[in-house]
Amino acid sequence: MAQAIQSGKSLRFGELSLMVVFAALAVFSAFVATKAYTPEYAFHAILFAIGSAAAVFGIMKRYGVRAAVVEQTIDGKPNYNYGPIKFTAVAAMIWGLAGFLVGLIAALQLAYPALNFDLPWISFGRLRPLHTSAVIFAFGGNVLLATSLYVVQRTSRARLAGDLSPWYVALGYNFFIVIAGTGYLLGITRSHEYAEPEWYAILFLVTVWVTYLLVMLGTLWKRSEPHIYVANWFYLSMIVTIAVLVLGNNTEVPVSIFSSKSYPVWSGVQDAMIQWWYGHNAVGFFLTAGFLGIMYYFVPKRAERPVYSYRLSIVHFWALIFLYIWAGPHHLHYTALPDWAQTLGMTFSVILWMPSWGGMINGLMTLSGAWDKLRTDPVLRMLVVSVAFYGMSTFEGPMMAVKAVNALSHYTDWTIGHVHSGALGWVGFVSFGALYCLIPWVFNRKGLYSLKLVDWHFWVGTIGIVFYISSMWVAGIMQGLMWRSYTALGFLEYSFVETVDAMHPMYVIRALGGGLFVVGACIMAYNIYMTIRSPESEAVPSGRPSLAPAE
Amino acid sequence: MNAYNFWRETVGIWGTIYFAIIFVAAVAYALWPSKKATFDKAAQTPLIED
Repeated sequence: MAQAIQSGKSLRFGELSLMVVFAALAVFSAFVATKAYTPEYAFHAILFAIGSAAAVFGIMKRYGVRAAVVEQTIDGKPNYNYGPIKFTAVAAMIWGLAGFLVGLIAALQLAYPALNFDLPWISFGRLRPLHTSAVIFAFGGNVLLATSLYVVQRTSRARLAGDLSPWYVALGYNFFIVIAGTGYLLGITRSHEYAEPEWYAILFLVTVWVTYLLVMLGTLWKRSEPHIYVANWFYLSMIVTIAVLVLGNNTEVPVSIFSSKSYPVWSGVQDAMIQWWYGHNAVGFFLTAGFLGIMYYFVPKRAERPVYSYRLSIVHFWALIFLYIWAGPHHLHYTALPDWAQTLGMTFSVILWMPSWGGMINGLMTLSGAWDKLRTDPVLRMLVVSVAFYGMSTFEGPMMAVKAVNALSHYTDWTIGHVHSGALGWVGFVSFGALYCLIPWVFNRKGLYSLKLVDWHFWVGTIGIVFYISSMWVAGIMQGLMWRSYTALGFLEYSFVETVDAMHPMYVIRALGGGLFVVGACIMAYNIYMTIRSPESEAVPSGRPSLAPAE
Repeated sequence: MNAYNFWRETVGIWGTIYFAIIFVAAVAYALWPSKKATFDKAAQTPLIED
């Protein structure tokens, strides 16, 4: 019977239709490339054509080697699908290194402007969005993909839904990153912070993202656990909200199908409000809700203790998603935005402090009774310190959203410091901790190559973060105070360039801190590389007899 | 009353009430005494090895 199925392997509908779609996209992209208004757009059209053609060949090649039937379970255990997880986990590490390095170069350019080398492609204005997108969307996005596709399978005790679709999500998302990143260097940008990719990249991303949602929902649909574990709720809220945000903030009309340029439908203050509704919720749902999903799975798993309070996690979830969505206007204090909207943004930001700390307490208290593990397990220490940084930056954020504080802090480097205590301390460390756990699990290795190196990564990284955020506090508050100081005669006391000059030492310290963070990431990359190179764990799953050589 | 003020006030008042009700319902669900067993079991989900 099994033999009959084996020989009866045929092309699935999904494979066939996807090949047709990609072939059509390849031809269409090649046609667009010939008519493109600018060489930069033609380059992107060619990338789309090559990518689509590669997808057709990839599906064909995979058909040759794949099994006729994908088993949902093997020996009564779910046959988990780890392929796309391995890919995105390694991609996260590579993008992370690139993104941190570009950040370091940008920091050095601020301290020593000669490092712009008068070249347009690597000027600060182009490198900055490359850095922010590389760390948020390329590094963070791949970490979210890898962990969410793992957590949803393990907590549902079911194989990932779909056959090609998880690969479309993993490869498609990374192709989007390539389009976005090369676009910034070539000068293609919407000039909206964290929303720089142009219309065609976004259209493609939407197809990837909807597939991602369907893969997650399909897996939950097949689950054999009665309850949907709370980490999945956080991941789902991230996916749904990001879809709504991206569609909302990219309501735009392209100049032509042969042009990369588009214009937003709304203008002026409406555009600003939509942009920061998007921008703040990119922080709230992509960088917070998604990574809280990581916290709720990986901290209990690594500490080998259930989460401190499951009830608190439910309240945490609903409070967080209700409140975050209103906080965006605090990015537009003292602008043309109506006063009531500014006050609303400020108020919700302050209330948001409560669920944030509820979640932090829930994560930290999971360790109760297992605090000794912090001394022996540097991976757990990394996860716990990330939660502590989460607590710190979610106190600092609401404080800075208060109008009176914002009058001092806005447009200064204090904001940069705040963002990095969240990004390096919370998102960075929780991602590192999760990858240190995940990579041995999905590659079936006994453990990491070296815990000692994790310890080094932890301390070098932590010292780097402390240098970074403390120098930016000093720089930002000094900058704000210099901007607002008047002479006895009512003139501004300092010219702008004097503030820039005064901040130079702090910029050097910031670059030093960022440099240490990069060194930590390099140590991690070496450790991960050596872990993957080490031999597979030999443990044979119980209940499965090993085959005798004669068979 | 112009359209802007109408919508701003209507959404401001009824939106707040609507969301407050949903939030209270979510908290009630989380704290409902008979749910304790379900949640205690759910909390163990990541720790069970298969």
